[in-house]
Amino acid sequence: MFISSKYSDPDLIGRLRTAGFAARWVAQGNLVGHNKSPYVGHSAEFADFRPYSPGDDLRRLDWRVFARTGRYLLRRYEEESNLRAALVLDTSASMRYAGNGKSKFDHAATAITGLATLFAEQRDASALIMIDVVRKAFLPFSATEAQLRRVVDLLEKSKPERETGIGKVLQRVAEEIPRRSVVIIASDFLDEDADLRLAFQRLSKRFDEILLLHVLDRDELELPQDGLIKFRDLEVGGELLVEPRQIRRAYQKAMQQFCENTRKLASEVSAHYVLLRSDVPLSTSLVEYLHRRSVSKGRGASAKSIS
Amino acid sequence: MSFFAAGALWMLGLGSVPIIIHLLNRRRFRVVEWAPMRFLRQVAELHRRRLRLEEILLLLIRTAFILAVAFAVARPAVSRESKFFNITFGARVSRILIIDDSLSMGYRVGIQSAFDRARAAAARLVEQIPDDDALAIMTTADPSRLRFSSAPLRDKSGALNVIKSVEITDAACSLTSVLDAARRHLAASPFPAKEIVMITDLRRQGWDHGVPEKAVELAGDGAKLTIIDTGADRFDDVAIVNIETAAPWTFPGVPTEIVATLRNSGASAAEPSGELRVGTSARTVTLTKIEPGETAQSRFRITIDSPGHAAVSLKLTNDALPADDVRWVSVAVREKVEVLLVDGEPSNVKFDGASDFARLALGIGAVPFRVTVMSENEWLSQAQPDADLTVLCNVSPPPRDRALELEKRVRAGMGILLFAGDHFDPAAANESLYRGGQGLLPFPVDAIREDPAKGLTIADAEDSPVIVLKQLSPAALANITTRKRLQLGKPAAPDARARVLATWDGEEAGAAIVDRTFGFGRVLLWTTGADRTWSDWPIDPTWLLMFRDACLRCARAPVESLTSEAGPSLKLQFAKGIMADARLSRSGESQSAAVEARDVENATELNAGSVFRAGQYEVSWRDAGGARASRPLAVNPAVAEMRLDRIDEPALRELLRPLPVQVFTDQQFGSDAAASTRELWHMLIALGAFLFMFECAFMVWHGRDGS
Repeated sequence: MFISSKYSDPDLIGRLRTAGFAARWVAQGNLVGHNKSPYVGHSAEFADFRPYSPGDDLRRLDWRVFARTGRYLLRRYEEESNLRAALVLDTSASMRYAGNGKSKFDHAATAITGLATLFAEQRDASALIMIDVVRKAFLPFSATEAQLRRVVDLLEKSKPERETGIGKVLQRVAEEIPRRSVVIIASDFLDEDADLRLAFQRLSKRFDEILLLHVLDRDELELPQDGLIKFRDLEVGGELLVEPRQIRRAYQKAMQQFCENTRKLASEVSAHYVLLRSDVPLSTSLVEYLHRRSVSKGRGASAKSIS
Repeated sequence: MSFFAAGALWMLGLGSVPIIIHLLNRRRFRVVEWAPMRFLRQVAELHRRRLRLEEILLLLIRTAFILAVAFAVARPAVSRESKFFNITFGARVSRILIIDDSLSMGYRVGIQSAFDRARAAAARLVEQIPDDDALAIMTTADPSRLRFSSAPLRDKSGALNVIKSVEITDAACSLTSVLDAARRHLAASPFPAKEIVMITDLRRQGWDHGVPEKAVELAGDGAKLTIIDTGADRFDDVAIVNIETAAPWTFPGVPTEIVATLRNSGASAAEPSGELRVGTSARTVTLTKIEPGETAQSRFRITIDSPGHAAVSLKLTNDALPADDVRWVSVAVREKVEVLLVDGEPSNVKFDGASDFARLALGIGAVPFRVTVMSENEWLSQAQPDADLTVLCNVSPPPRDRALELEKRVRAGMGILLFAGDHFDPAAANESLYRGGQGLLPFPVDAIREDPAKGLTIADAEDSPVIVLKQLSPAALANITTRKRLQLGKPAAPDARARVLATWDGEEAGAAIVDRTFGFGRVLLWTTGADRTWSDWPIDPTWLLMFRDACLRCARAPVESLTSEAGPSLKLQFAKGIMADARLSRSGESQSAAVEARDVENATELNAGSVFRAGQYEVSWRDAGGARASRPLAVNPAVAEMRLDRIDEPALRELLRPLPVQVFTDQQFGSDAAASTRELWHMLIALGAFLFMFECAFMVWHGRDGS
């Protein structure tokens, strides 16, 4: 399943397909998929027996056991379910920064498209939520090919603009996403630390698995420019005239600290953290993460070790 | 503060260039839209103060560097009076101002002489010297005398009056004695900082061999030397370097030749004309053409009618240095020359006597020889007459007492000519006349040789009494023969005064004529005779010529030395006698100065002290009888000062090493008080170099990736 679009990267999708994305916790979806469901039902995979109780469906009584043992036992089967992945994309103006021709938004959108394609192929339900200072768009969960098309269309039509308020918006959006979903957030997380912390804590309580895709440009990390430069804020429009050379090392330290803080915050709420540098291909950064993820176990530990 | 090159001060405006560039650069920036502004602001805010300080410091360094260079080019000088100077460089200065008043300073360019400019520069210097400093003023011609001294300098008007009163001299200067005197004056001065300011024309003359030693001594004393150069680089000058009579004697009514020596120091040939003055009569003369850098002689015949002393002068048409265009000579005019001929073998037959040819030679010509002829016996038995010259022809060596008397007369100035002969006993001659080198004979006599000798070779001896033989053709001398002659021995001790003037040709043929100065007189010995007994030379014309000339050259010279050069110590010698109330006055001036008289060996010496102006003077005194006697005295400009070639600055610095030396032209000095100020350009260049290096280092540091 491949839908050609501005953000579709066949190579990335191919590699994602190889890595796969399985829920690290049992999924709670509406459709039958390849993820285990917390519910026991009518699927073909046997789970266990339980004694018959009046009112139980007699069709589920195991007559063979009754014939051998004389006990009324009902057969129980593990119900297989699809995964629900909420793809949250930051579309604030700060995502517009393009250090090397490709903006952070492009980079994040490519990752989201790849993941959406992967989920569609896995018949997992995905939803796309775009946020900036408000919840800008919301595509409800669906595991159909049409959902993928809608995702792609919405991404193509979107433009990063307005201020960011990802911390506060995430807190509100969390209520709209069903429990036991996997929440994947692609953002530069350039928001107030307190808001982010609160948002992540709330997400952590509600969802089993959270993946933070920290999208940053190489320039933002290294400040490589020379000469006198007037930096203009992409969101609020403030300006700062500075010679980068004079503060480069201090700035780099500050950015490293920022990334580290975000990583620690993610760790505190048992979320996974992946830094997606715009100069590092997603087929490297994102796919590597998925490979590591697939071989690791445990929720809390995995968050640290994988990220 | 003042500036030697104030025109370069516009460069100070360049100091704003770094600020302008900085401001322009602030307007040349790129705009970059940026996401993580929070961190950028945070970091920028954290480092804003440091960055601002660094930027300001960098701007200041660059501006200061440009200002330092611009100031250095403008050559600022700080007044020694200023607080800045006193704080930076210290202390009060003992300063001695030396004004070169030697003859060459009279060289004019336009209407001003180097001396005029020197006085003006000296006055400017005095006006700008701080009152707290010490100042002494002296001149090069008379360095032993301080013209002015004040410590501290409260009486500037007094110093200015002294400068105004200083006049140029016709004397030479010796920088060795000048620096020596300056050192002595500075040693007695009160303040530790010592400075010599010399205003001079920087002629090479005067910077003599003793200067380096004095420079070392002055450097050891911590002194420094500032030279203000008022001299002209190019010069054009013809100078009379000498004027004298060609013959040793001048006689009344007998024409005599005056020889003038002129030097052309200019760049083009000169054919000067001038005025020759003898006493009160003058005539215009044209002199020999002189090529550039060459020396030439011009000869004039004059006749002086009366005996005594006559002043003769030659004056050229004035050029840029008038002082060397005139020269005087005091000519002694002798009425007669008293000659005593002593004949060892007189004869009544003409030309048979030993002195006949000598008498013949002295009897011809215009020179008034008054000849007294005595036989040997008469000479030995009678009192010796007072002669200017005694000629002994074939005379036996006199006894010891007579020989001593003869020595006394020769020592006093009489000349003596000795001719050999059969009566001349070598052993007796050695005993009475040689006396182991103490007597009259220049060399001992070994024997009388009877082998013939032919031909004469004349030696190149200075002031030779037989120099006239040198002017004859060698062929004329080659025919001179002798049958017998004296064999002279080696002197008992080396004696530079004993000279061989002519030798006989042939191996070991021996000396023909020898001489020796003896006191003020001279002894001349021929190893052959004055008659035909030993040699036929007396009948040769060369003998007559030689004999007459030798008589004139060996006869008693006048004791008076009445031609001199201007200088700090003028001494005159006269025949011994009473010279009371001696005075010296310049011709045409009513004032006269007292002169000290004292007796020296065989003479009375008048010490006239310093006479710095050339010209015709008169020295007068009262003799033993109380009568007033006088002599004309010619005081000439110093010949050494007529060499106008300059000493260049590198050579000067080398000569004066290790003394710190600053050299200014008076034009430079005119724009500022160089000697009363201190130039700062070296300091500024050093500061500029430091700022440049600091800026480079700071740029490397400032340009790092800021932390």
